[in-house]
Amino acid sequence: MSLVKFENFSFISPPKEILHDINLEIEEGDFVLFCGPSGSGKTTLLSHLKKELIPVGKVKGKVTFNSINIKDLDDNQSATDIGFLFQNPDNQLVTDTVIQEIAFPLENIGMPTEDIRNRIAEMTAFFGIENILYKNVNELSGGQKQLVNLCSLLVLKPKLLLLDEPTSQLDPIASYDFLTILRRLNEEFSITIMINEHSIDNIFPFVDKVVFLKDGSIKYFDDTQTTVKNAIKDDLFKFYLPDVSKVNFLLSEKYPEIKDDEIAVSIREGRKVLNKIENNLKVFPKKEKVLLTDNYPFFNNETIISSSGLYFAYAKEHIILKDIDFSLKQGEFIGIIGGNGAGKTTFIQLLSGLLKPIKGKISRKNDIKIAYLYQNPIIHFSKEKVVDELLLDDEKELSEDTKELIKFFNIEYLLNQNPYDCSGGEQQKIAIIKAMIKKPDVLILDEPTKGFDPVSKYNFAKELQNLQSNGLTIIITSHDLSFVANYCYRCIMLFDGGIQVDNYPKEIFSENNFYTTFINRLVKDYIPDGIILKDIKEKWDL
Amino acid sequence: MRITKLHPITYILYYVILTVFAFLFTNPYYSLSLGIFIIILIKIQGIPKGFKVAVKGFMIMGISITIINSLISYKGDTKLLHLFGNNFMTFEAIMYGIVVAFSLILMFLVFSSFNQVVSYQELLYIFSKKFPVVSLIMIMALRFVPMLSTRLEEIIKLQSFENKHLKKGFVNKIKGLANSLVTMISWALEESMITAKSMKSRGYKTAKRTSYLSYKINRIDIIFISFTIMSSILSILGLIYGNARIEFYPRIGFSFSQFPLDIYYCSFLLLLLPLIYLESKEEMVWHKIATKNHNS
Repeated sequence: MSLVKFENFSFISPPKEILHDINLEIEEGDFVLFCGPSGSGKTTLLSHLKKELIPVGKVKGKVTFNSINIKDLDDNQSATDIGFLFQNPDNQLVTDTVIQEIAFPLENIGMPTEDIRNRIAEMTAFFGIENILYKNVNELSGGQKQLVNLCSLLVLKPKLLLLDEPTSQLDPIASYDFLTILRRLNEEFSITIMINEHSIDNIFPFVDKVVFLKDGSIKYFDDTQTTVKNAIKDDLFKFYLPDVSKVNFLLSEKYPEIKDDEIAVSIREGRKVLNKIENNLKVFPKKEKVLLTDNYPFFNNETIISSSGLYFAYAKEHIILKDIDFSLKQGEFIGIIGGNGAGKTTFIQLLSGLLKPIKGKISRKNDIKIAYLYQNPIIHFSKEKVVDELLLDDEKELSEDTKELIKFFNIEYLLNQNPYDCSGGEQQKIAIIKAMIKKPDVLILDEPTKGFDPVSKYNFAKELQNLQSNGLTIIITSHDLSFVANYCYRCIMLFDGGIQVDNYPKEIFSENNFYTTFINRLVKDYIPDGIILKDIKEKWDL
Repeated sequence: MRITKLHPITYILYYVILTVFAFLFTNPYYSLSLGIFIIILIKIQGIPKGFKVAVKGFMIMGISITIINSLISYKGDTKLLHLFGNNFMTFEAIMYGIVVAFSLILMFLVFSSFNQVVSYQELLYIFSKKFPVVSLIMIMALRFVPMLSTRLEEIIKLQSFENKHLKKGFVNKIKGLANSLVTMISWALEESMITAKSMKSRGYKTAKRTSYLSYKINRIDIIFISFTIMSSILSILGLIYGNARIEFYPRIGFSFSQFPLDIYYCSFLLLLLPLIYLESKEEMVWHKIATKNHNS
């Protein structure tokens, strides 16, 4: 008997049909991934499994849990059996200390003190978070917060976990750790998991089944292998496959001997595929190291920002940035990478002038205009309508330039909405337009692609490149190594408060073994400087 | 972390008594003893953060109370200075001001010491038995207030960065601040909707709330409470029959030569001792460990 069942299920939130004729059966112990563009109804679908979160609208068909209609579950059962984890680690935290937060649901259902403490003891041991129990939640990192949130669901011993893009706000290491814990929960306790997720490369190896959603309908639903094979033929969903699988498909088109084999979704499987056809594959030698100075096109340009000996700290015990020398040329597109707490945000805030260094000098070209965008675009909004956000101080109507930008970013349909009702990607675009109407020379973005689906990410990158070709200088920080590898000209890796490497992305990633793109990890032994799909296509002529 | 653990209710009872006594016992010998005792206690417990600043603030407040009282209260026989009309600054009014100011400082000291031993979680635990919802709201506020204030700082930082080309002026400043507040509030409201969902989906309001905290009343609590109550009752009798409280008007009924060595004063001193005893015992344990670590 299936644990979760959607039968001819449709959901209409006037005037739009969000979900259309969904039929879905999920067995106990399944680990199911939901993929699809933003706005395809993934979150709505999960919300209908949680009685407390069912959105307002018209429903056709039914959803059952253990053969009971979700709406008829009693409060206690719905709270304990089904756990729901939200996207943003911050705003689902309710209380101030970790232990209080984990105890919160148990206190809610009126469990006696002794039992609460038993459950907490058991769970914190499993998660290994005993040492942060009495910490204030505001002091935790994003990854720790999301673990605490998950822990606080698991103390209720749920049978079904619903996760709505849980790692979209986390850095790659933290999100990998998080997904690994999900995998353990699924394997060791047979907890059924349904997850919406964009970090496809990480999650694909873990899941049993994949659902592809588009415009509120299920396009593909099957075990991972079958779905991957179907999706590669789809114009939209081929973007939603792991890089390893994309390479695998390209290879199997050229080499018939692996045509009927399983498609690799993890690096390990991908390597096996490469081994099998080893004799056909051309191996390239490791190239001489190239430095940024050799033929870097921007070095002849004018320097617009330069710094020497920058230091920054909030307290003596913890110096965030040490002795940074840096110079920025007009027209560059720089990606800044590095682990959590490496000082990426501080660095770009210093460059922009939002923060002042405690020692050292920054010089900026006279009259240079710098626009800075926060990770969370919400901080830039204070008006009720998007169109009001985009008016300059003395304007009554949108200027021609602004209209052009709106067209360029393709958000005409949002103008009369409230900025808060837009999705993360849309908010990001509005914030960029808002910054661009002041005609800046430099655009600095902090983690702009967080929470983007693959297609939006691609479009966004194209838009940035377009702006760059019109003379805009762009600096981004990112945890998304593949994005930096694909689109940035220059890459800076921060470590321990200093600039560790400053070079072409290709040079940096081909030097690294762990902190590099999935493609590079796959083909390192054959093409040492292959870091993006394009490189491999060229070298192996696929 | 501490190893001396009394039930929070024991602490609360004890400190409430101390606070009330700081106000009632106006005889300088009593208040000075209380003052010395509480300073020793704070010294043993460790001086809290921001303590010195707060003490300074209270000192200034104390001095102003003294001055204001001497200027507006004209009772008392010992006239010192002609103010206006029939009104004189009197010695009694000055002394009364000093004593009131001193008891306020005492109350502050008692409160800082209380803060060192009873965490707000313990306080809320006592509170949550009677008012579960109120205590939850307080816990949530403890998380949200610091978060909102860091956010507001960030928003203001951004606003001043974006509007640095604008003319600075009072109106513009107010406008900017209003915009920042709008952003902060709408952001907070937007997020609180998710918080509410998260609470609901984790079973909030499905049953009567319980607490993960538990404190037992131990033998030491019983002994401590009985001791406190006995010595307090004797001290209160001192208020009625002895000279723990002095009169100021029309003439001060106190001289430093009258040392109040009676059973009431002794019991007042006794009241002050048990916590010092417990705290120094704890301090000695830690000191021993520290020296051991240091030597090895």
